[in-house]
Amino acid sequence: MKKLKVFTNGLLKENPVLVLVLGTCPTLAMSVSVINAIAMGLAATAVLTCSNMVISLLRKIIPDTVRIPCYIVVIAGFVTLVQMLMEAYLPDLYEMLGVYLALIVVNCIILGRAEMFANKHNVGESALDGLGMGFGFTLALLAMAVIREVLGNASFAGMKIAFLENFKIPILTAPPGGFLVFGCLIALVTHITRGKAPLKKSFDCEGCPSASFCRKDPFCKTEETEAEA
Amino acid sequence: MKNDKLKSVIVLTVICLIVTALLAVTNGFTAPVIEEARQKKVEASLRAVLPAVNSIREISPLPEGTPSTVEVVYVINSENYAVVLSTTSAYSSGDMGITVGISKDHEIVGVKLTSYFESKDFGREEYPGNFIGLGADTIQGVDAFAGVTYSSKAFKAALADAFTAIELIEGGEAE
Repeated sequence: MKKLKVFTNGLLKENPVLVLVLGTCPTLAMSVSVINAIAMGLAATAVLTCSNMVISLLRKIIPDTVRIPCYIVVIAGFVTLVQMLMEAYLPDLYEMLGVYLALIVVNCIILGRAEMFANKHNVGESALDGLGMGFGFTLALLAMAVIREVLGNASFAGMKIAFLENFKIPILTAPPGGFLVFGCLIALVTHITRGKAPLKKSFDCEGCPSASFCRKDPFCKTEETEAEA
Repeated sequence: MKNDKLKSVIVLTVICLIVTALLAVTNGFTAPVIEEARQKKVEASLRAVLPAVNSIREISPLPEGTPSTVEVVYVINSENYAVVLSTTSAYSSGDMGITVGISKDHEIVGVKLTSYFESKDFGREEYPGNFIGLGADTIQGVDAFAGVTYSSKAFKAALADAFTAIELIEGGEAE
């Protein structure tokens, strides 16, 4: 049950894009078309799951002082691996994703999950977290892409929708439209999850959606631990 | 304290070595597939820049002083040229692959961007089309593509290199 929760958390309650607001750059850039969104989401999911597993496996070996460089090396390794495989066996998709595929290295969802989850949990849970967060990222991208492509370009996955041809809203395919859809989706998810915007006084652990497990971290400084210190 | 520092260095080094080894193995089996696909793309681009291709002769070796961006020069139908170029823009490190067809009158008859991933809009259809009918002296007059200025400059410089290579080849043949 707990393991299922680790997986489902990333889908909606702790969705990396719409709740944690991580990975905004690839989200806005790759949500213009449905195919791009799915490809980007799956590539990031593969990297996220594999890097989470490896980092979790090495968590007791990696010294705290060099953990970030080690995570970056592992993540960059997996991204390059995916890049090579895609260029060789899925060249059309590789061309479509362009520079954003390489930029998965600096996607803060991946480094964020390595730091927040994988280095504190076992391999199985880290893999589930990677899958959950990856699918959450893919779903968010897909939702945005469907809205932007259907309403902005009158097409779905490249197939034209004839009856919408005269009702296109071209701004949706441009960056301002991306921000608009992004904001609307964040509002919708906040409404569904009954999330509350953090009050100014709670811009610390209290206001963080990851507080539930992050506070168990001995390095996490809450008001209580600081008072104890 | 000293042991901790040493451990950090060793762990990071070992992780780097393992990742490098893994990438080397992957590169070992993906590189030939990528190269084969690239070759097919270049062949298709030759036909795109010069549609009526009856005979192809590769000029080898290229004359001394040929710009480094020029990879291969083909003589098509004994009179036209197709030049395969590979360059990088000053802005990015990604390769830009270009195939340009040049007529016997030294005018561009076709340009195809075979690889470029920095921008989706640049180089697909319209921008290379602006260079058709132009010669070595006139290509610099074409405006840069908005938002892709560095790559536009690299593109134009590569086309100028193609003309330089042809001049060197014809100079050598005349001698």
